[in-house]
Amino acid sequence: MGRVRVIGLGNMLAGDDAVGLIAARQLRDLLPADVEVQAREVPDWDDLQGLSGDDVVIFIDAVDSGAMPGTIFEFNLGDVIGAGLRHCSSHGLGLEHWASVAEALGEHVSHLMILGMEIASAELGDGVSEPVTAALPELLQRVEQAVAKARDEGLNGKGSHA
Amino acid sequence: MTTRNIEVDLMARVEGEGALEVVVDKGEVKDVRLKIFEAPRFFEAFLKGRHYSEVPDIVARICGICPVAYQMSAVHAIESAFGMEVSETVRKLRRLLYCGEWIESHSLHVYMLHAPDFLGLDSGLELARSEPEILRRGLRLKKVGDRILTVLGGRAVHPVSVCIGGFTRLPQTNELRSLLDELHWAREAAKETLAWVAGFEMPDLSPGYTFAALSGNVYPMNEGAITVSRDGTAHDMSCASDGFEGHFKERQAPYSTAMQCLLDEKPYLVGPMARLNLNAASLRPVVREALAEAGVELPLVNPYHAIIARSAEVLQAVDEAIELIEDYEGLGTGPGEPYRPVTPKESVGTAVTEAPRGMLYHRYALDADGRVVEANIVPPTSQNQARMEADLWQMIPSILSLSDEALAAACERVIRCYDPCISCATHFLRLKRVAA
Repeated sequence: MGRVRVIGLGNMLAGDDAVGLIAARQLRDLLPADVEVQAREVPDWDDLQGLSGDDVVIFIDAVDSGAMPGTIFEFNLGDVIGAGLRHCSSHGLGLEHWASVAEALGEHVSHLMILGMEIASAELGDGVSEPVTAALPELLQRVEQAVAKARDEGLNGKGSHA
Repeated sequence: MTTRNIEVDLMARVEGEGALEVVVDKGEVKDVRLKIFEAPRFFEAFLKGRHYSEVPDIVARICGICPVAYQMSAVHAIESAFGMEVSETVRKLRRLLYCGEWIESHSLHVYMLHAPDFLGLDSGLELARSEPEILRRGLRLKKVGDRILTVLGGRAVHPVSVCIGGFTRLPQTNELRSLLDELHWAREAAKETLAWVAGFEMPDLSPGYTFAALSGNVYPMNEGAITVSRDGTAHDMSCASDGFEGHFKERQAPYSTAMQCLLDEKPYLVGPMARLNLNAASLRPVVREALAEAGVELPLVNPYHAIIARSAEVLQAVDEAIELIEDYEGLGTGPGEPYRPVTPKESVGTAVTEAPRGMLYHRYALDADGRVVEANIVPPTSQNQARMEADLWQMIPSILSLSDEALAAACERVIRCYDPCISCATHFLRLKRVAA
């Protein structure tokens, strides 16, 4: 079995954008000890390089798609890789950017998964909204289920021992 | 049609946080409006009433790319207010921390964003596909910077060990020594990077910059006097850090929430080119040799040459990091005290340090308990904002025959030279397609 890593992304001072961080901090007490859990502000190349084909990385992030706040989404690599990767500032490089580059460089990122939650607001200074707070337990449960599945058989039905 | 409106989103698929509008009427440029959202304005208000000890952690959240810069300007300003001096060990380790941030930030911009412009590629992703080994070199360089931040700061993205008076914890010698092998690789990779970018064919554009940067006995990071040169070679004005607000005046752009900072009512340039031009005498020998071998002569006066300046600073930072770590080993008696005790008092303190993108000014007024009464933060991008607009005003008339799409792309390339610090305080997935 490969390693399983859970990375919560967000900003504690930016309203619902904190949801990934809050989830990661709670998951440290809920997930098996051999699962690496990180909580930080932005994704990075280091998250996706040097993985073995059996390693699984699960990101928890806020999502803005126009759906009802609190809605939980599950994405795989193909869902986040898309067009529109031109930037004028290195400050704009997000998860979709690093995932695209990792795939282009032949990194083992097929076992990448994102559990996202639709947010109501990411305004600096706002607290976490009611719908996001209410949906947090379900998000934690979904992550626990995804981790259990990854440890058992790998994501996408590709068993780590296959 | 006689009027053309060119709109450019500075961050792909992220509307509203950075945008450029150009209005052309009857073949004449009528307006250039750069709109950049600035998180520091929120943080100035958020810091009021906070204890001085909370400030380094809060300001680090302004930016995920340059948190060290915000922490450094904050701790220096507050230490100045309290009349403190840090130990020589702390002074050196803060330089090492800054080296890490320069390496990761500059490498990211050089390889992922700027180099593709000179190679006829649309993005770093295309560079990954066409020249994977070159991009891997850049990403490995970036990781060297990240590792310095992790060892010294506790983590790469949001260092947690910086405090007023020093660090909460100093690294063991063997922790720093573990970085050396990769730093020695990085020194060669940085030389290769500099030679690579110096060979790029670059458009001609010489706006006649006024440069502003810290300058002193050592290449500026945490120390030096504010120095200005209007011709790239002569230091024709210097003032102490305390005088920043006396010379550099902020004004509200009527079309944006962002502030623009001017020197004597005129735009000026901060960042790697300004630093390099004003501090050629304090460049490390390996950087001077690499610049000479690449045929680069200072001063650099073309905005597209910023990629050369950034690459030179990567080499400068890698070489200095090696020396700092070897010196640290040489202390022999252990790292010593991590921080000095703080005695707060009612006071005002200011500091300028050199963020990867240029001078970053902080001012704090504190009460007798050490709580923030008022904070003022002037980031480098607000200082460069008027300069970016001026470059575009100068360039656009010569390329009006281009299609809207090509003209927008040309404007993007100019803006990219500056690597503007567009807010990255929030970083969530924006999706149009939804998977159930």
